[in-house]
Amino acid sequence: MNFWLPTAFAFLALIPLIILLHMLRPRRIRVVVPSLLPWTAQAAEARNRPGFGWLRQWLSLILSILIFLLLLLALAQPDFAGWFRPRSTVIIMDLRARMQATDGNGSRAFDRARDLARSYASRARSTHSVALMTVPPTAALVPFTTEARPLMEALDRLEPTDASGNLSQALALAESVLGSRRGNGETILITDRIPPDALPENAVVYAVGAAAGNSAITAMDARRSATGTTQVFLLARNFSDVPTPVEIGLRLDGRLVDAASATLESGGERNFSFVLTDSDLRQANRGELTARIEKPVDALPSDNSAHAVVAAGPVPKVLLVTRGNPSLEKALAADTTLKLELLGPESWQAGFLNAFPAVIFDDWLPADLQPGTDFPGNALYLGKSPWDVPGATIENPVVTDQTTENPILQNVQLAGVRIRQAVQLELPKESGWRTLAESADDPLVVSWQNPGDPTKRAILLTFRPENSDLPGRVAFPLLISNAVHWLIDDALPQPQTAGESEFLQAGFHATPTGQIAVNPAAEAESDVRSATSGIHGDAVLQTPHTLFANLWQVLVILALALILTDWAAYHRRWIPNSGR
Amino acid sequence: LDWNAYGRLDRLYTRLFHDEEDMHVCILLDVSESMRVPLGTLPQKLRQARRLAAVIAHASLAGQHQLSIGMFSEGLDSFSEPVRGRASFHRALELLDRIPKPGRGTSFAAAIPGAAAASPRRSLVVVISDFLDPAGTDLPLRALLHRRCDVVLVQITDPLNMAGLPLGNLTLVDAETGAEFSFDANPRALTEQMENAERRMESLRQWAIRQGVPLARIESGATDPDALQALLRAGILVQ
Repeated sequence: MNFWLPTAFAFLALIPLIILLHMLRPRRIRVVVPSLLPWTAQAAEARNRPGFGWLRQWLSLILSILIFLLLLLALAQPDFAGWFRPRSTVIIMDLRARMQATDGNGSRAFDRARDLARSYASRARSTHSVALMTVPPTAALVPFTTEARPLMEALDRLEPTDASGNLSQALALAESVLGSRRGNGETILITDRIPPDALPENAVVYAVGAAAGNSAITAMDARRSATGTTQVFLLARNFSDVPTPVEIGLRLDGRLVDAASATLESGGERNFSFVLTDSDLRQANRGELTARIEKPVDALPSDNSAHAVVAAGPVPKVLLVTRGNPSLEKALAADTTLKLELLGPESWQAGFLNAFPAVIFDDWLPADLQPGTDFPGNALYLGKSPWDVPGATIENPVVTDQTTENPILQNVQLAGVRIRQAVQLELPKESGWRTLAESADDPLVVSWQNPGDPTKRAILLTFRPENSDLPGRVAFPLLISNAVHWLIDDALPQPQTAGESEFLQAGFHATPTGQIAVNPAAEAESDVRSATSGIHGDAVLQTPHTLFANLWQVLVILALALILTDWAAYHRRWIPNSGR
Repeated sequence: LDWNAYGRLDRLYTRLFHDEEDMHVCILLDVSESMRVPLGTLPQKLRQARRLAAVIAHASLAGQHQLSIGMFSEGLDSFSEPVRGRASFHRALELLDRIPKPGRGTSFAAAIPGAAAASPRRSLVVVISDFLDPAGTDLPLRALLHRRCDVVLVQITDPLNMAGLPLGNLTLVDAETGAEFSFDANPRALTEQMENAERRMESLRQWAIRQGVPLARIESGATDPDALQALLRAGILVQ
């Protein structure tokens, strides 16, 4: 047997002090009385009590020393881990979005789950290791521990997510973890309903849910049109057994911009579409678009909202430096989401490269622009670039390969474009260069993005559009538009689903590449009609063994019992000279 | 019937006589340790007993009765020759002052037969004691009654409130036997003891009523008027 605090036995040196104090205790006063006959009954009772002989004389001292030894043993905290078969419990906390569902009293299923988990966490002790897992993410939040405190602290910090999760995967992980430990093991899954899948042998499921109806926005998307408006698409679904009228409000940066209402049939869904005007977008700053079911307030409020990020703020300006290029000017002017500024080469100033989010050099280069990658600003080079090989040209190049996955060439078909002449490039060795279209080994369209600063970008066309039949093709305005929007980096990030990205909570999150919207995993989590409460499964460790695990408490209780015995013995006069 | 009067008057007459009997009064005084050792700070019972014995002796001698004074403890320690007349009162006081070396305990069974044998039949026996005899007082006293003695009991008691005992944890030592008893003198335990003492005294009182024996109960610290009143109330001085 080991002791957690063996130094406590140093207090054994106090036993002589206890004996001394016992000897110094005041003795009884001797009083000579005429006769003991008035005390006959009591004296007879005292004589008839079971005698302990010499023990009666020293009972008080023996009890005092015993009490002291028991308290000392409790202080030393004996460890019986080696005496008993160890036990291991894995608590799996369901943090899926559905655990936010409330019952009729407003209590979340998660809160009930956490209370239950606390009761299991409190069983952690030297003979009983407890680990805490979560879903989602399916991971061990607290590894096996014999102390309740880290488990309690972790439980206090827990909050349900807006994501979905795989309970079977978590159960399998827990089972594999328990399989590697000696002794008995069990898995406690605390969720809102009994999983339909078969449970592992030593798994117990505590269902703490309450069935309820719910309405949710299960999908949301926002798309910008070429006319400058933004269309918002919503899909709302009724996860209840009765038709439910809903009122949906659309807010841009917290300002209500549109609303709609409809009645959702039981189990049915309905599409909603909204149009954000250019005026709405220009008044916004952050572009945070939120659709919310304002009424009714149901059991699971988290899935009543969906989010998207839209382009907001003033129209970005694009500077075209050209000696005159009507086709290019028309292509740029057709994109109403851009504001075009024209400039002749003779008016060029070095500061312009920083003043505009994108600059287009049409077959002209500033004299001070040196080949390299440390220049400021983003630019589209048409025909000439700082990386041209002087005098090296390619006659009648044919587009032999092009990528289609890059946003610059999205919906742009360059195959078959006839090009009269192109220039050869000598690209630096730094990374970040990417050939998007080429003729044999000669690049025709090249992009560059600074790996250290993704906002630094450049696009090179090694041929003038006028030296090809590209301006007469549909691909030309698309290419120019795609190129400029890539340069100014105003692509709208698609809304993500909680749990499918790095984010488990719905809402707007800042990332190195900009603001993104994360929506709850509504489709998978919103149906809480099947939530229930109860226990499923048989476990070997449901009843905690507290007698020997909390031995120090037992020792203290024994000490208290002895104190009571001493007190009773004194008052019953079993201890003849125990005056105090 | 006065036959002479009947002969003369032919009517029946009853003649009444008043015989002055020469009564023998025997005072038996308990001088055991229980009478001499006070309870805590209370007065000694023997002191009160001697004062009462003096009063009874004076009343007896004033009535021209013969008086004997016996002292007893574990047995009959002394028994005086009878004296008579008022002039013998000083002799009686001397007897009461001269207490022989008594035994420690109290034994009515050992003392009373001796006193009865030394006293004439039909004597008036006044027993002054605390009646704390572990063997009991019933049989010896009934033996006196069988000898056609008139028996009078004077019980000297300590106050029932046990005020003489200190509070706290005590070891009580029996003055007569030396036996010890651990006693927690708290108000509750003292109340219990008072009830026990009351029961013992009530037992003696019931015995006296059954036997037609006068009993006077006088506390050790009682004043003289109170003590005399108790004797008068019991009819002892009248006898």
